[in-house]
Amino acid sequence: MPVFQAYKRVIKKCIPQLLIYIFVFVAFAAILMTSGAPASTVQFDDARAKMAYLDEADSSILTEGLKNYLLQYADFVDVNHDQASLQDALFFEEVHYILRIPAGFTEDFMAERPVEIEKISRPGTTTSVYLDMNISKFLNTARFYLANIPGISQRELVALVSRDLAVETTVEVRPTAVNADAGESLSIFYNYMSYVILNLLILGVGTFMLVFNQLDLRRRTICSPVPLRQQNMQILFGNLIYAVVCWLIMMGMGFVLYGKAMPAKQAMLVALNGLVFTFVSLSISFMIGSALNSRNALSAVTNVLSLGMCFTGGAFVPQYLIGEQVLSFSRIFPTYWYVRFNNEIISMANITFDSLKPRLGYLGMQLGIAVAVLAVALVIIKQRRQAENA
Amino acid sequence: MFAHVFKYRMKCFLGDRVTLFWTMVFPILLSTLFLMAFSNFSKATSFTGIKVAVVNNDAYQENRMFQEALDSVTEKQGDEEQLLSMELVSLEEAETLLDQGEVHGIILLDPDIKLVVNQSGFNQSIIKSFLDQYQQVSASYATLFQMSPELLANRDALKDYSANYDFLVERNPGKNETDITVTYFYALLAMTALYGSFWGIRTVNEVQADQSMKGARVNLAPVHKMKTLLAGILAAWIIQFAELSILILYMSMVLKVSFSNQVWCILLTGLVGSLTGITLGTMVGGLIRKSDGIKTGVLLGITMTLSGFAGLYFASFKYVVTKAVPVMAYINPANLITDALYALYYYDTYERFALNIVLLLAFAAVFCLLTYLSVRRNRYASIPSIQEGD
Repeated sequence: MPVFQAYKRVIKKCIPQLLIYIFVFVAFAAILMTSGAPASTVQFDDARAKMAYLDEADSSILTEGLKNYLLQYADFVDVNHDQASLQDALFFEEVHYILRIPAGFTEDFMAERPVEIEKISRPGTTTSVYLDMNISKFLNTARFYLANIPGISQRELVALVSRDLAVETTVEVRPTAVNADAGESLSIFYNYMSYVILNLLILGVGTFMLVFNQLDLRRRTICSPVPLRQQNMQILFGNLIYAVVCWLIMMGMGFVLYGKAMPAKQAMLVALNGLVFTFVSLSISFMIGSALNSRNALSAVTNVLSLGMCFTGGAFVPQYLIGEQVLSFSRIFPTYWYVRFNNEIISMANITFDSLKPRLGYLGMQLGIAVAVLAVALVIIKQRRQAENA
Repeated sequence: MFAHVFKYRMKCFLGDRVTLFWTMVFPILLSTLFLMAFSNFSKATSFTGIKVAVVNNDAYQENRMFQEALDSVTEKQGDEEQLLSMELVSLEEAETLLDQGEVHGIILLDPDIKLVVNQSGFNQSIIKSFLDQYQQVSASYATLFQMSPELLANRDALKDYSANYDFLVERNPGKNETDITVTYFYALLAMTALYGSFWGIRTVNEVQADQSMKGARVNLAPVHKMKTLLAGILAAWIIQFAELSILILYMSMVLKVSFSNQVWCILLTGLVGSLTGITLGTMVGGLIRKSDGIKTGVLLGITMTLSGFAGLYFASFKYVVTKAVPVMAYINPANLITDALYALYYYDTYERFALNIVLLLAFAAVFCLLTYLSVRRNRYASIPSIQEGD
């Protein structure tokens, strides 16, 4: 199988370039793994916002009480207290909320004089609303006692307030199949994978086709004793093997990293989705490879197409961050359907055939796109042949 | 003579479609994709009324006080977003709504207040905080009446609990809106500035006889080598600065990315950043005496890594890196460019901006020096290694 052998040699030469994508992906996955331990699913935990707590008056019993109470709703982050560090920390989301207790706060508060606490947050964010609510709860309860029990001491006040605020609502948590946090990193991992698969295929298949489509080389292979039909079969064989190998590598990585986190049904469906996407990528690569004839153009088109499809389809940024209009446009890309399938399958509590049925359409969309792209590729090839023969 | 060489360098560069693509068209496309990807970002993180399903049973119908409390948080007050938006439904309907993700939680009076959710999170915690507060206020009254029963008899002396007293005053964190997404665009500008190094490679290749045919020809001419080199750098600088200005213009006019309004400072950043980028290229081109492909590969690796550290892939990475290794803030040209734009946007003072610009200039000077040392006084007795690509 001389053509297939040549295919292998071309791919071998590409390996360093291909490895870059895989290494970056591995590094990315490693970072993803280390960030954030999964939360428990059965028990409800109050969400905690990241907060910088600055007490300019040093602590009093009252402010210590507030601080202890806030531990339930916030993780205190140590940030340098200078203006620039605080600004940076807020901008880059190391803290969501900065609370500054001014000097003289406790005295004024105990004397029922008007007091103000300074907060710096991103206005109108959920975390800001959440902490506002709980901080004013503490202070208002304290004010209520202070107004009604003249001469109450700080210690008594904090004791009363803490006791009242310890009253909690019962929360029942309904279980889901994959817990939300783990589910999110799973989705991120598999969605980003589409970028890697796309690039591996376009680079590998595209480079091979560039080599084989050089006019002189093509003329030479056509007059070789291997029939054209056989040549094409070997190329097809090479393409399929290459695609499947890429898919296996990716799935192997997924299995090693996340094998435990995913129920078998989900894992199989996500793998199936990956396989379908690999075939779409193959047909896209085939089209690109037959349309282009320079390496410069190949790398430009590879980047523009893969980044374009992955950004708008939601492979890098979750789809809920992408605007409606962009999403309705990106439906023409396979990445959109691939990502949507992953997201919905991973977050589904229990998979039955009924709940799966509408999602199978997403796979169908991908296959449809693959066929359409393949048809375009065949037209391009035909036109090029005719142009060459003319 | 300088003018003559300069003119032809300009003509050559402007005809270089591949480099023009990577240094201008590609960043424009990428910035458009960034915009698409974040088109829903501020909406997704900002607070919008939390959706709850309230079970309409007898216990709810009888509890007037709870209904009033719910009304107070579900009614719109002025232009502020209401805390909760509720649907009054039966238990079965409520469960379906929760399963479908239509509501964040179910409030059930059984007859004690109970919250049903399917995950922990800020929205769920806000509902819980509200329910907690309702019960905590009752607890406070109970405690108070227990401590001073006379208040129960003498209601006029009682000072009511009011959650409306606002202790918190909001302070603006920075000069402009705290919007982390601008970092992506600033880092993209930094990447583009460093892509100027591709012009740099070309410039330096074409003045060295052992690097390109053109270089060999140029070296035969009775023109001082440094003159040709400087003419090349100047031409590249002008083109790169123009490209960067177009990109900035495109970002601010078409994509509506927020910049500070100090136009001249932004242009200065572009001017200095392009110079640093180009001289980075001339340095790498001078120091590495290998094929064009290897030089480009090395530069691509450098620029993409540096831009990554400056926040191109994850905006907060810029912050994490410089916090963990503070020196990275000063030795990464991409970070200097990003940070200069960030400082202009977010800070009231100019010190940080000025520091960034000075350091960028220092980098450019070092790169120039190293270029000079690597290129000067080379004589070519024979140049067998030359390979012509184009």
